[in-house]
Order: sequence, then structure tokens, then C-alpha cells
Amino acid sequence: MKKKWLVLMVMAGLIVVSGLQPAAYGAGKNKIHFGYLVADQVHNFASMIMKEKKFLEEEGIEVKWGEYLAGAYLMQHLASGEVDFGTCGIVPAMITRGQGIDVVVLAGGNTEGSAIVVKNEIKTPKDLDGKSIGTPGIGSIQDAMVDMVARKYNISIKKRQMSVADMPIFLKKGEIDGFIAWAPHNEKAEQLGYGHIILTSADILPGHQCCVLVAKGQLLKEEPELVRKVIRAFMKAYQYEQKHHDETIDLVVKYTNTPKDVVKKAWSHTPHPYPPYVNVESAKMQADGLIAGGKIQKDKVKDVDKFVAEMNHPEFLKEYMGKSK
Amino acid sequence: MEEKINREKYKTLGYNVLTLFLFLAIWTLAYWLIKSPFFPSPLMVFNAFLELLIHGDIEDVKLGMHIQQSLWRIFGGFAAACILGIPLGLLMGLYGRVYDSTKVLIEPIRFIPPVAWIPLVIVLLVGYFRFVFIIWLGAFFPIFIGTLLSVRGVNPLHIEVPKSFGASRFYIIRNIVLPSVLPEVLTSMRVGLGIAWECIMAAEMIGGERVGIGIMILKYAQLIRMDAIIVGIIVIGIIGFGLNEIFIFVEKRIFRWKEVVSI
Repeated sequence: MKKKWLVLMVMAGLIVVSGLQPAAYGAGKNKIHFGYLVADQVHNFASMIMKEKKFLEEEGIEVKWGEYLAGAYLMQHLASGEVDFGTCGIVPAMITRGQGIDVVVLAGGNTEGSAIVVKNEIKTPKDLDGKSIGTPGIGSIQDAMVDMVARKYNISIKKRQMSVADMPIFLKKGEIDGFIAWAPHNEKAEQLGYGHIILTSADILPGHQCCVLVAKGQLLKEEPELVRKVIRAFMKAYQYEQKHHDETIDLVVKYTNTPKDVVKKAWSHTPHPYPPYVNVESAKMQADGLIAGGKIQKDKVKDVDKFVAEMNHPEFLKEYMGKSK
Repeated sequence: MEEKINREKYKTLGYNVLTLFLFLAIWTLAYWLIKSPFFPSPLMVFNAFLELLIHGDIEDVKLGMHIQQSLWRIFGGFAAACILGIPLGLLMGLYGRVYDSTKVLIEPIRFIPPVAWIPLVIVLLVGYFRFVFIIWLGAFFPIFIGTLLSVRGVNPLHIEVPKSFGASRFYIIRNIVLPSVLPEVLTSMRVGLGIAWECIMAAEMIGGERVGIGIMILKYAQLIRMDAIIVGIIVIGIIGFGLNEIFIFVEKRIFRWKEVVSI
């Protein structure tokens, strides 16, 4: 009887321990799980086009798409091994890497493209002192932007984390004084008359890298051909947008449930550099800010230059650009 | 006899301490075996606990403040659940017709998880009342159903005998039904409080606030800081355990007669 109990306890222990192991990526070669953010198509149109036009499937990849509330949640799923590739802000990717998780950046996405919307009584950034601002989460690039504003103007801002979809409701009900979100939610709230844009991310950190294409680091060594295929599909999406801009805008309208004029305005605030290399200098500045704010522990990242260099892997994009010349 | 009971108590305490040490030993062993950034050691978790307790979280909010705020929310939701659940349970237990006639509404609501209400709650309620509503939803039904069933479970003989001697309905409710159901009502309150505490994570997922033990866990989940997340989880468990023990203690004190009778 005692032996039976012992065997049962050992088995239960083994199950628990095996359950704690990171999940293996994909179900095999050419099978991936790709993550993107909810209503984020102005920033990351490439994910949307790859999905709509089946560019990954054209490369022979079987893809499972996953939608996430914010970059931090996408990163949690990448860290657990569930997500293989994804598009999100560089900040959550850096925070995740700062925790020792092997996430790498394959290409850039948009630069800038976020804004702080505030109620009409707030006229200048200095007026944000003591006010509450909604952010998509403590691990988001937008949250880091609010920290930068507080530092720049030497003011104190109370941050309230919430879903971007809920931000206009909280602002309208007067529970927050403003919010920061990715486009087109800011322009949408402004159009609805809930407030006005007081600062764009171009004002806060001009030309900053916002979104990026990320992947699990182990894929670079173990599945380089798969990474090449994803880069090809990603770049096809960029070329598609260049040739079919109006159709892309229509797709963003559909995905974000936002009026076309608002999407167009939001698009004009969101540069999409081509070729999409990461703005390394701005990445370093953001990493410094994350360390200063305690979001990345100082003892884990001692050399920011090395940290960013090890995270950024433009070689696949360079190879693609070299071949496409 | 008393000595035997005391010896038994110390023995139980000893086994519990041993269980705790065994758990910590297995945890440490698992940490050395797994070596994953997601799996901190007990020492790392303890350090994170001290950090949160003394210096506060990433936004300088101390652990005590998080606990205090969550308890305040629990108190609101639980009080609302008791204020509504006990009288309604008594009413529907005494007048079965009322329950039978409203069952079509009550029963389906009972099976809706509190989390499902969150989108509506965000739009319809404001601030503190959002948390109270979600926690109330979780705590209300165990209290209400427990009270209702306890009333129905009163021995009919205890009611029929005074009735045959001409006792009024009010007299029977006050002197027979209420004292009979009180122990069960307190037990259902204890169950309700446990569920209320379980609902705190769901309630604090709503967002829009920066203080609360559930919010603290979510903050660190975004930063993939497992040590701090585990601190939050353990704190939730310990407080839940503490609240339950306090309730059991109160139950034992108030209804000592019940224990004596049951022996």
C-alpha cells in the first residue's frame, strides 16, 4: 500500500516537473504560431496582410494566428514557448529579453505612432502633473513613453493600466484624465470628442522604434530556413502595401472597426520605414529608460550596447534585401 | 483528556511544519533541476517578498498597501453578499413558492462566472463599485443557497410541536428557525468569503487601478518577474487561509454548544 502511494507521488511529481518545461515550438518544421496585437493594424499592417493574403502559406508554412491584448501578453506566450513569431512593441521584447528569455528582433515595424489623449481641460504637458493616464500595461512601449514625459517635464503622472479598448470609456466617464495608446485609438477618441491629443510619440522621442518583428532566438540556429521564409512573407506584405495602399487602408478599417478618415489620419502619424531595419540608437535609449525605471533589472543588463546588439538580428533581412536587388 | 488533546494538537502542528519543509525542499530541488528563468527558488521569492514589503513594487506601492486595498474591496463585496444573500435565503427558504416562482431567473445567473460580467461592469459601473459587484457575484450565491437550504433543512418536528401549542409564525421563525439555521448560515458565509477572495484576481483584472494584490500580480506578469508573481500568489493563499481560520474560530466560539452536542 505504502509503495503504491510512493509510486503515485513520484508520478505526480514528474507530471508537475514536466509541465514546467517550456513547450516545444510548433508541431514540426514549417508549422508556426504567429502572434499579433488586437486592433494594432496601423502599426503592424504586415501581420494583417500576411494573414489576409496568406503569404506565409505561400511559403509553405502552416500558421496558427493568435491575437493578444498587448505586447507583454504576446511575450508571455512567446516565453512559454507557445508563440514562435510575432509583431509587437520593442519595449516588451526588451523587457522579456532582460529576464533572460531568448527573444530576438528580426526586423523593425513602424516608428512613432502613439499619442497621449487628454480631456479638454488639460492644455499643456505640464498640466499632466498629478493626473492619471491610462496605459496598455506596465510592460508596454506606451507606458515607457509616459515615464519619459514625466522625466522630461519633471512631473508626476499616475498610471492606470487597462485594455486599449476600455481607455475611451474610462476617459469619457472621467475615471482617468487621459490615456496613451497606439494608433488609431487616439485619433478615434479625439474624433468622438472624448479629448484631444496633447503629445504624440514623435514629440516624446522623435523617430523612436515602436514595433518589431520578433522570434524565439532558438529558431535562428535550429530553423534558419523557416526564419528566411517568414522574412520573405513579411517583406511581401510591405511590398503589397506599397502597391496597394488604398486596399491596405480598407483592411485596417475592417480590422480596427475605425472610420476610414480616422485610419488615414492615424496612418499619417505612423511612419513605416523601408527597408524596415531597427533604429538601434532609439532602441538603446529605450533600454536605458527601462533600466532607469526598474522595468529591466540593472544587474541583468550591464551593457546596453551589447544587450541591444545581441537582441537585434538584421542579418536575415539584409540577406533578403541583398537578393532582391 | 486535555493533555491528550494538546498532544494531538502539537502533533498536527509538527506534521504541518514538516509538510512545509518538505514542500520547500522539493521546490528547491526542482529549481536546481529545471534551471529556468520562469522558476525562481524559494530564496529568490523570499527576497522579492522583502523587496515588495519594504521598498514597494515598480510603482513604489508597498505590499501592505496592495493587501489593504484588496481586503477593502473584498469587505465591500462580501458585506453586500451577506446583506442580500441571508435575508433572501431566509425568505425563499421559508416561502418555497417565492423561490420556485423566481428560479428561472436565479438559477441561470448562478452559473454565470463573475469574469463574464467584466465588459458590462466596465461600462455600467465606476471605480470601487466594479470590484464590489464582481466580488458580490462570487460570494452571493453560496451564502444565499446555503441559507435557503439550511432553512429547508430545519427539523419539521421542531416547527410542528410549538405550532400545535399555538405559537405564532413570527415566534417560530425567531425562536426555532433562526437559531437552527445560524451555524449553517455562518458556514455558507465562510464558503462565500473564500469564493470572494478567489474573485479578487478577476475583479482586479478590470484595470484602471494601480493598487491591489491582483493588480500587483498582473504588473509583474507583464514584466515576466516570476519571483514577484509567486509572492502575490502566496500572499493570496495565506490571506485566504487566514480569513478561513478566523471564521472557523468564530464559528467554534459562537456555536460551542453544537460541538458539544455533536460529541
